[in-house]
Amino acid sequence: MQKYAILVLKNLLRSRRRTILTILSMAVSLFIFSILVSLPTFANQMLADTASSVRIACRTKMGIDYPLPEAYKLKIATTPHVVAVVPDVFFGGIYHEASDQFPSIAMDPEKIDVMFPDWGFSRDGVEQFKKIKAACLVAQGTMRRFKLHTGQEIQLRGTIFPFSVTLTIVGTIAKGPAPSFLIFRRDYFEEAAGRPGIVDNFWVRVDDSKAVPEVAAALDRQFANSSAETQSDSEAVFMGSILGRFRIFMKLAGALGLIIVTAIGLVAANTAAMSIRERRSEIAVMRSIGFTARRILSLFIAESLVMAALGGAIGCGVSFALFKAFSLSADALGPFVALRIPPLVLAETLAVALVVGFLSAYFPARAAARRTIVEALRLVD
Amino acid sequence: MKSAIENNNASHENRESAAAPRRATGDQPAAVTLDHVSRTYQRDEFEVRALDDVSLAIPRQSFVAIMGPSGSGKTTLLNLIAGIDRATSGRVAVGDEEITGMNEPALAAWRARHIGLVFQFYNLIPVLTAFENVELPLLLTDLNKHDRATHVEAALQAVGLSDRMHHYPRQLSGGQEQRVAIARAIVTDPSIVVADEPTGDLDAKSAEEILNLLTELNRRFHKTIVMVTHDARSERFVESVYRLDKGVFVGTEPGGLPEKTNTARQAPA
Amino acid sequence: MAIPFKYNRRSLFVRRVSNLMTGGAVAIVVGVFVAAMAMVGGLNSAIRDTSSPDNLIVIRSGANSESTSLIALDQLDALKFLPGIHRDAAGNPLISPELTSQVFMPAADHTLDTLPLRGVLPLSKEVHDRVHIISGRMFEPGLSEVMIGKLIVNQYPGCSVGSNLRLGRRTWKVVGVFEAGGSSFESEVWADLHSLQEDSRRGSSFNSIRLKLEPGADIPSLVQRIASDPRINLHAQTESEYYREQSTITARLRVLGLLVAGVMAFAAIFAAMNTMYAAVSARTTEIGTLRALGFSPAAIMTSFLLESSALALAAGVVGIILALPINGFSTKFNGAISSPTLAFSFHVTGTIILQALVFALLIGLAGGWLPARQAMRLSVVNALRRT
Repeated sequence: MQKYAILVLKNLLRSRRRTILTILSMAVSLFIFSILVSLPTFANQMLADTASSVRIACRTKMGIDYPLPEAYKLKIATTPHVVAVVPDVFFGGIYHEASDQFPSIAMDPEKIDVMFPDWGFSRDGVEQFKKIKAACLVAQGTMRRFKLHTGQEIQLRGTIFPFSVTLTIVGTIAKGPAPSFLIFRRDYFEEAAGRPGIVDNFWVRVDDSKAVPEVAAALDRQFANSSAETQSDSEAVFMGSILGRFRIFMKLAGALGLIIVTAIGLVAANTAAMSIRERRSEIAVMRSIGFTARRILSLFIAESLVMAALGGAIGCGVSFALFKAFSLSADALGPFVALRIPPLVLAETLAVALVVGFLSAYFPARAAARRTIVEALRLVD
Repeated sequence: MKSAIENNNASHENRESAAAPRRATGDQPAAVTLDHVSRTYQRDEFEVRALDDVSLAIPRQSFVAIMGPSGSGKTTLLNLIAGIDRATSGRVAVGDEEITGMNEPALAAWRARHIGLVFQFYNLIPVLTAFENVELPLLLTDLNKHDRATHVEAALQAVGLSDRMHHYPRQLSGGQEQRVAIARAIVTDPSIVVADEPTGDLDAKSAEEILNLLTELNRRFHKTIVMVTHDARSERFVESVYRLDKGVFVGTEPGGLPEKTNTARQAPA
Repeated sequence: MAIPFKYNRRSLFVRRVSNLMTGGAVAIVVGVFVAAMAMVGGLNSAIRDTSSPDNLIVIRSGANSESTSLIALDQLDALKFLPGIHRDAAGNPLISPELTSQVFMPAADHTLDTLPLRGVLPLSKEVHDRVHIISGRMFEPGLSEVMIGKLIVNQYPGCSVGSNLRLGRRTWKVVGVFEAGGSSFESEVWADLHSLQEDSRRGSSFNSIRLKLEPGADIPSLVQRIASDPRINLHAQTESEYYREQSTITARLRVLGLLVAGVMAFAAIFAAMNTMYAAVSARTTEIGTLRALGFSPAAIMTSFLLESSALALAAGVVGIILALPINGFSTKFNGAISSPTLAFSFHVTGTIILQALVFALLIGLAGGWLPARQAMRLSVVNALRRT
């Protein structure tokens, strides 16, 4: 096995330029591929995290400009199986530039630790949030992104609402629904807004996940045929419908990924075909010495695999490092504001590289190795 | 049919022949003159002396061979005469021109005009037909398509391959390929044809055909032919043999043919 | 004279398997380019406003779009009779106060789309003069009737003339379909302003005012007046300026698309380079022969550059053809939750095709450059060496 490894390496180094160009070509394609594959994987991971939730999102059925009355809170709270209710309003303010926008939401503070134990609020944070009216909690990613610290005052300019809010950061969120995120208090919002008494969405926590469908149906039933109808779903379904908005990106990313794999295959196959063509005489000689067709085949395949593996490693390495260093900020990408390449994707990209490397060398090499010695020698001129 | 080339011939190098009697060979400027020519080049860490202080002259309209053992520098000598390599020191004059001082573009233009090249492995462009291969040197002139065709057809006829004009090299035998190569070499009517082992890859019969063809080019069309060869059979076709050994010019010997020294042999046949 | 192109054409054919594979890679990259640009172009068209250059749109100062703007009735009243605003035959100013709202529409694949609703007055048609009713009629004011843009037709259940649509708090009857010169209005549902105000409990306020300018109106001074008058205090700009600002998202997507295509181009360039190097290597003797015959190094380089360019261009044409079917493919674009769902179609224009061809050519030149240079630099003597 050792001797073959050396042989493979020597052959690759023989035409260094061709090897390097092939590796680079594959690396570039796999770089894009790894990014594309990250999108749906990232999204699926977000969904998976919220899959086994005991939370229901009870929101307005009508539209963004048709919020629910806050009076619903009491009625929801008295529904069987309901443990806690937290109303929220989507404020959507701008911190610095419009392009820096991240979601900001006003919530009732009393029960947020009961409702969102998995969000990782800093301990004092929640306490202070319940005490101080102008408090806000900020996601760790956002703190890092804008270099904020606890105790700092920040201002959010209103977009949907015609006023700004000035808040004091009292704590952080470790793992919220979006990497960039801010919560402040709804009573502060109401006061600034002139007490409209509106709620965009009620978060409802039930005591047992099995009760979720029943409770959701009960809530919708209760408010059906009123002037403010609700749509209640488990959190997983709710997140799904939001992420589903980006379905077109997913589909495009998937299609593009497939196309790229084809391109990689063509490049690798071409390289394999070229080296095989040039080494025809060698192959003939090796066959006449006694190498089996299979040995020769595996030699070429091994060469292709090495190049593919290196291409994959470089491509992945660059995409991983790139996204670790910079956080992508694009309002159009919504929840994908801070995209990272998950380890799963790295593995997937390498696997694709290896499979493509294997297949694209297999067919040309097999044909070459199979030629009878006499045929092959005759081609040697 | 050869008239087109003859006309070309007449209008170029040998303008004098139609008007005045030629001087004796000894008084004529030589076709090729090498004056203390050396050619050395680097091969990794070694300095290789391919030619060492070579001085020789090849008479006009002669048919000569350059012979010597392997590594003697004969191919290098040929390359210098053909203008595809430069001497490290010394002067090289071909025809009436000293080519030592010419820059690349000038040399390229000169080659197209004044030298015909024949190689051992024919060096035909495989994707071009016989006609198109022969036409190549003419593409470097100002001739229009029609005139070019006339010259090409004449050249192919001179080598006896008019019926294979549109064949590709792979459809021709070795001897036929070499004849196409010779046609290519004479299509611009150069006064000198250099051939590097022209019969090296041919069987005895084809080799003889080629040598006969070269002889005819020399006799009928007064072309100087300088042939590098290690085929001893070639000796009887040439007037003199220039011997090289280890890059040094050893001397000349008479070949199988009498030298053209008499002034009587002037007019075109 | 140069080396004839038939030499390159036939040489490409000789190594056809290799060139087909390389060409395939180039075709793919060019196809991706076309698709990306077609998507951006389609989105741009959807956002692009093609209505009159003589309309102004007025929104709240500091708002960055209609949907985040809020205007009160008294501001409208103060604005109505400003000079420069076009009037109809009866002397009424052509002003369209408009209320925009996003309603949720569950889509077929369980996603949540946001459908843009626009409350307008009957005379809005005078202001939006590119809007034409293509089937049915305009809604009657004060009633629960709507007309839908032509891109909405059959997008959701109830989106056809005569059916009922449940939007907001009530059920509306669809009475007509309109087209609007390819602009984003065609993805909207238009209802009576007052009915919508009532349904969404917005009182008498609205989001924006559009007004038609008098021919030769002094736009800057009108804009200034609208901003500085304390009773008005609003931000006015021409419609085309407004929409240009709104299309930053597509600008971003365009950059993204170009980036992806650009990066992929490198993969194609490396592949082309590989192939050309191999070709040069295999044809060393030919190159030497051509040089010996008197062809200049420049002629050699040009020849090989031509060859790689021809290959890339041919592949580019194939890539364009492969990407063409995407033309006209309609789909929805969903941005952030507060922006409306955009219906758009991929649009392959002549410009895109031209750009794609140039793109292919550049790939060919970039990929062929170094190998061609190497071909040019071959020493004639070495190229002709027998070994």
